Parts: sequence; structure tokens; C-alpha cells
Amino acid sequence: MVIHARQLQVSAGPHTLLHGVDLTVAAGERVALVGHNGAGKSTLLRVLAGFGRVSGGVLQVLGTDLAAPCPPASLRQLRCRVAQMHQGLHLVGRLSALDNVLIGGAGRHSSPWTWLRRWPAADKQAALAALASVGLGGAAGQRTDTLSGGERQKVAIARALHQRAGVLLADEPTASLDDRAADDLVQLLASVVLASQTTLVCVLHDLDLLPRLANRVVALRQGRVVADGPVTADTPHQLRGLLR
Amino acid sequence: MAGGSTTTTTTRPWSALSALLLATALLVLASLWTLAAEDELRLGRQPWRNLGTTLSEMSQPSLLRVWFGNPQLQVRDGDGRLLRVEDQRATERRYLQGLGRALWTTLRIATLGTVLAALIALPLGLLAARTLHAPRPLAWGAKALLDSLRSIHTLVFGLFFVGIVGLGATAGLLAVAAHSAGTLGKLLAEAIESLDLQPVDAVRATGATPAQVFFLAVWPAVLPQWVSQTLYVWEFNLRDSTILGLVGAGGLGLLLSEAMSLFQWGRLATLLLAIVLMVSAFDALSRAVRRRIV
Repeated sequence: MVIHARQLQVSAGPHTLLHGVDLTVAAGERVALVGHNGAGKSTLLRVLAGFGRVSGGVLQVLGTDLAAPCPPASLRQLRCRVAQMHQGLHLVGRLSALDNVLIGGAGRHSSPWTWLRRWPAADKQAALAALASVGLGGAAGQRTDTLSGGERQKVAIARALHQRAGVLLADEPTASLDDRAADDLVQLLASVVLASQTTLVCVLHDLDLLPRLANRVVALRQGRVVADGPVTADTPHQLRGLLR
Repeated sequence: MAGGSTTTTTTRPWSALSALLLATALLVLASLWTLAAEDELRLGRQPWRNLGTTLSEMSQPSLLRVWFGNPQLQVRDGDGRLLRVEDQRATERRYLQGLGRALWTTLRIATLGTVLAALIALPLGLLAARTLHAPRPLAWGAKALLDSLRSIHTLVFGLFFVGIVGLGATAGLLAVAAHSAGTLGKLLAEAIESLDLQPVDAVRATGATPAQVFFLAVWPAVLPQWVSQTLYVWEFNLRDSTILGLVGAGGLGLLLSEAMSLFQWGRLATLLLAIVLMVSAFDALSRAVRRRIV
């Protein structure tokens, strides 16, 4: 079992963000989290990577217990095995695309050389290959703050690939992209995830893109799971009714 | 409800501003009143004549004597007896050489002081930056140290270090370093605190160690600002170092205080010209470099 949550509660100050979420994800599943703003999707994704505190219930990710305070070393080990993509600007803008991809391997190498961005030669080859596989082989040396929004998200995919994690958490990877770029990105993400047998948990706003990326959908409303089932061609339509 | 909130947001800045204006006006009036009552608002006996003399002498900088000075100036005593014959051009040339050495000393004080300040400020700034979550007591200690360093003027530090290491450039560069370490440390901490945390969290999310997070996400983003701020403080220190000699901490200030206490306005004009030239050349250079980094 990759993710096992029972009666998971998360609160921030006086606000309860998740009220007892039950979610079990097996290896190889591709789960889409849907729901309105404030439904708790991003919160759920954050606690899955060990960010933010769990206030109640059970949460295990890849066998690591996240419900109790977790020592930093085992948290780092877990994060090493869980790749993440976020919406918007989360690359280091002043570094090149290649350097950003190489950062994906930071968890594997603890040598102080990595502080100076010196990585093993094999890593460099792998990072270049990852960039090439998302179609950005030519932009390896370019600073990421000079890339377009779509290209940056592709660099983020390459970074996740380079991390070689079995789990990918993606928070609205198509946010701030126009329709065509979003389409492109979802196609790329789906092919990468399928090829590497990665378990995917992904927050998606655009319900039409859902069938192409996920095979299971979990709908949240006000911090609770309101629907959980396989994705069919009819799912976007049904969800529209449910989320209205 | 909506109307109420807009009126409060529009009226509040105005009431704060008028309160500030009122307080300032009261302080100005009180200052003028009490200074007048203490008979401290005076311009001396002959302000206009003094101003005229000073300006006319300053309009003939002493360096002109290198070319137009009297090569055989006869210095006589009160009874008209010839004491000695002086070559004004040679004297002025020697003075300019001394001025050149003092300028060089000033530049060295500013440079070494700034470099030392940057070295001191780096760890203190990192500790003081709230977003890096240093242990609380260390963070508070660093912040308090930075604040007190920054609030003490370079000149005061100069007096202090002259008392400890004696007269000369060492006292000057220590004074510059002590004050600017406070400034640079605070600037660094604020630069780190104002960073966009998303890339930092994203690097942390790859399982990176805290040191990796710092070097791979924080440092690349802060470095250009840090370099640019250090250059700016360097500029500032060059100006500050010109007066450090007033308290015996080396450099141009000694010549300045000499010229002023002997009322040699021509010499003072030469000195001021030299300072303006050096500082503006350095400013232009540093501005050009800073524009290129960010």
C-alpha cells in the first residue's frame, strides 16, 4: 500500500482543513483529486509529503507513519521516494534547467560537493536524458526564469523523473497554462507516469483532462471525501453535477 | 458593510498622516522656541563676510599653485626681515602627493572594512533570518547584535577602536567593519526573508538536507542581491572613511581637519574636489556593476 489514511484530520489554527479523510492508494494507481477551492485538496497533498502537521487519525505513506511527529532523517528518506510538482513558480529561477533537474537527485547524494552543484557524471547524463524526454534537450543550459510557463512545468516533470521516485504528487500541474499547453502537458505527464509505473496523486481543476491522466477520482468537499471511484468516459459529466 | 470598510480604509491613512504632520509641526516649533530661548539660534558676528571670504578662498583650490604658484615666495617676519624663500609649486606638489597617499589609505580602509563586514555579516544575517529557523536564542542574539552594531555610527566606532588599537588605518577599517556588519547583516536577513518560499519548499520536497536546501535554493536566489548590497555599502563606506581621520583613524580625514583648523580654505577645496572625484568615480563603477548582476 502506497498511501493509507484513516480518519485523517488536519487543522491550521482554529480551522479544520480535513475532517476525517479515508484514502487508500495502491501502487500504480493514478488518482485525481477534485473539488472546489478550499476543499482540502492541496492540504491533503501537502501532508502526504510530510509538510504540515496531522492533528488526528492515521496516515502512512510508503510505510512511514506521518500521524506522529516524524524525525527529520526519516522524513527526508520519505521525500526522496515521493516526487512533487506544484502549481506555478517552484523552480529555482536563477539556475539553469539542467541544474533544476539535477536538484531532483539531491536526496540520493548527501556529499557537500552537491552544495556547489557538483553532481556525479552519471547523474548529469540521466538529468540530460530526462530533459530530452520532456522535449527540452536543447534548453538544458537556459535559466528557468527565461522559460515559458509550459516549459517550466516540463522542467518540473523532468526533475520528478530524475528523482526516480515511485510516487508522484502533482498539485494542479496545468494551472496558469493555456488550453493547448495544458493539453500538451497532461499528455506528457500521462505518458511519463504510465511508462515508469509511477503511482500518481494529482489535483486537477480541468475535469475534461481527467480521463486522460487518472484511472480513479476522489472528490473532496469541505475537507471530506464525497466520492471515490474509477474514471469512465462519463466521469467529468457526473462530477460536474456533484460539485455544483 | 462594503461601504463602511472602504471609508475606513480611505480615512485611516489620512488621519495617520495628519497626526504625523501635527506631531512634526509641534516638534519643529518646540525646537525653534527652546533653541531661541537658550540663545543658540545665532549666525555669529559677521556671517556674510565670513561666507564671502570662505567662498572666495575656496574658489581658488590650492592645487592651482602647482602651475601658478610663486616659485620664490619670500616669507618675512613682522619687522620685514626675510626668513626664508619658498617654492610654492614644490610645496603644493608635495602636498598633493600626501593627498594621494591619504586617498589610497581611505580606499584601503573602505575596502578591507567592507570585506571584513561582509564576512561578519554573513553568519549573523543567516542566523537572524526568520525563514531559516535558526535556534531561537541564537536568532535573537544575532538580531540584537546586528541592531546594536548598526545603531552606532562609524565615527563613534572609530573613537572606540583608536582607544584600543591606537591611531591609524587599522582602527579605521575595524570601525567601518563594525558598523557595516550591522547594515549588511540586516540587509541579508531581509533579502532571505523576502524570498519566494515555493522553490525552497520544492527543493526540500526532494528530500534534500538543510544544507542542500540552503545552497541549492536559498543562496542562488539571494546571491545577486547580497553582492549588490555589499557593493552599495562599499560605496557608502568610501564616503564614511573620508572623515574617519577626524578621530585619528587614518586616511583623508586628518588632512581635512588640518585644513579646517588652519582655515586653509584653498587646501580644503582641493581635498573636497579629490573626494568628490573619487567617490563619484567609484559610484559610477559600482552602479554599472550592480546593474549587470541583478
